[in-house]
Amino acid sequence: MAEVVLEKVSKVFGAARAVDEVSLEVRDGEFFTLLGPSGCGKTTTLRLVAGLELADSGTIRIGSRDVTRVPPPERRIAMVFQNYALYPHMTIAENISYPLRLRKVPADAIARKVGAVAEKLRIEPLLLRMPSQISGGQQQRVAVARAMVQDPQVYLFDEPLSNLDFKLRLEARRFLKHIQRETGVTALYVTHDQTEALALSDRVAVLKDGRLMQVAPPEEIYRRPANAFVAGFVGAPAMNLVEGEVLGSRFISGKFRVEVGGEPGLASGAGATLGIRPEHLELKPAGAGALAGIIDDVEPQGHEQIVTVLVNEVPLLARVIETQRLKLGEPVSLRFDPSALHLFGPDGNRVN
Amino acid sequence: MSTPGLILSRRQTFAFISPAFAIIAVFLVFPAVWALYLGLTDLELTGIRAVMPEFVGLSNFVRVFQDSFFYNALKISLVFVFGSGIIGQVGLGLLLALLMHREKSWIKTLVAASAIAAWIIPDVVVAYLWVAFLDSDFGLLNRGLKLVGLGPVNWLFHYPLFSIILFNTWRGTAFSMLLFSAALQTLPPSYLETADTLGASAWRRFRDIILPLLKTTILTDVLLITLWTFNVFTPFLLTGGGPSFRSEILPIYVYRTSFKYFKLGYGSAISTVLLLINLAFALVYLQAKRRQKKW
Repeated sequence: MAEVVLEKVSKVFGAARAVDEVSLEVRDGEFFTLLGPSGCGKTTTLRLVAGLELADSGTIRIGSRDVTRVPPPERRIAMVFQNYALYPHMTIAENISYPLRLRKVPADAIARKVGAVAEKLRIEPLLLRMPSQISGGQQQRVAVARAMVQDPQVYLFDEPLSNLDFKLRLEARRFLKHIQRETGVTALYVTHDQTEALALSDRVAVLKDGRLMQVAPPEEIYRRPANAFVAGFVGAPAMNLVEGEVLGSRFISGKFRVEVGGEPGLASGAGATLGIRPEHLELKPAGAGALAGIIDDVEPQGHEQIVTVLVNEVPLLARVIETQRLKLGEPVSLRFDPSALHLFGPDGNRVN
Repeated sequence: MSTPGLILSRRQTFAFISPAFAIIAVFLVFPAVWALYLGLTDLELTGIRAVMPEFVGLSNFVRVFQDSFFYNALKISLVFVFGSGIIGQVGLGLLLALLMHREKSWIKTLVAASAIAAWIIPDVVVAYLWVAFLDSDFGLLNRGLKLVGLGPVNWLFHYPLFSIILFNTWRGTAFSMLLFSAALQTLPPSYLETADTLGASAWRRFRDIILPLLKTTILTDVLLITLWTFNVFTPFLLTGGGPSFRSEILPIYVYRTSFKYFKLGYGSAISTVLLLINLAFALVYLQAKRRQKKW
């Protein structure tokens, strides 16, 4: 068990700065997620911690030890890959015991340990099968089992759930969180799936183009995104983001005008992005809300509807819980609490 | 039986491929069967037996197995196949593919390019290059040896078998290397990366992961290389089978019998034996492949 500290770590591939001066502190026992779109450097960051890539600059520490130049097996990490990397020619038991056999652990100790881990992960009946004979969810558990027998100080997960179908993913997600809590081992987790990140993590780091955008607990990432990128990336359906400018206490984008209230903290005339989450927009009859518009699209989701409302040519998404029948082209209005508005300055950073 | 959704009927399908069948039959199947038949005659290239060959049954084959030249050629062929085929092409090809597998730099491109170049140059040119390279007076190899105070060695005269083994290894390693490289590419990188994080040595990575997963490819390669090397004739361009039959592999012996001593019937019989040896190898291979565990 240990904390993981990155100090100004950079990794360059050719002309691309895959990881750009990233500084992070993953606390001991924490479930920490690196979240971002593909190509944002999250997997590279994880591979730097694993030692599969070497940092071009910066320092990586695990526990109190500087491991920047230490080869992977001496870092006391265990990695779970997206495709699980189970060896197809080994039985499940052989796969799980492989790390121990490499360390020349005595056979009886291996048997005991594999048995204990298999029991904990409920995969005992599978031990004598081949990886191709078990389901994706079971393979995922075996991969976790192989990581657990190593007694690592840190688990490194590289999108371990993305090869599973939706239902299994939810189940595996809960299971992973449960296992991590129980063992108390620090976990560094990489995903592009923001729902997964929010559901699993103690804290989330959002990355874009190799740079850190925000590091915060899930609620804060969701409620107070530090910049327009995080605001747009986290949340489904995505936050409504409208580009325009601020004049006095008003946000203006063409004919679209919104009173943002108070002092926006921006010079008058400065470019800005206004954001509001679809669940913070209330659909009201025409004239009842602050923004008048017409219904442009309705997507039923079962328990709710995602409604696109055109407000002065700006499409805004609203989540509507009611199952009321909505007609396309119908004039409606949107009501919102000004405190739910997010305002981002010309550099994309939050100003309110 | 007609399968729904087929564009062509069965008869139409046959009509379309029958020209190809006809060409294959005339130019491949017929000569092969003809050669088998010739092995049962005493046909010669000139003289009365060229015009009026007689059917002699299996007497050619009886002679083959009493022929010391045949045993000499068989022994040399086996050494040649083992040395240049198995150790040389398969072994070296595998080694190069493994060394290059995780290499990302220009070295990989360079090695692959040189290996492929050695493979695509025409036989005659390659043979000439090797004659020039090994020449006892002006050859590059002896010039090089001279620099370090060794030689000169008359390679083709004193070490003819070694020379053609070296030549054939150089000639064919690219194929095995490419085959193994392609097979290695199909392994998910995470297999070896997992082993990296576990601290598996290069040997353990090879023995525990790469070898079991590449077994089928290796078997296929061994079979192909064995058959090709058994049948290769190019070493003739280097040594002509000599001196004094010391590099006379079976195809060269067939050539000598048929076209120097004009005994076409007997030469065909030796060819048939060569074919049977190849067949035996193929059967052993198929057996081994069948025993492969499926996972």
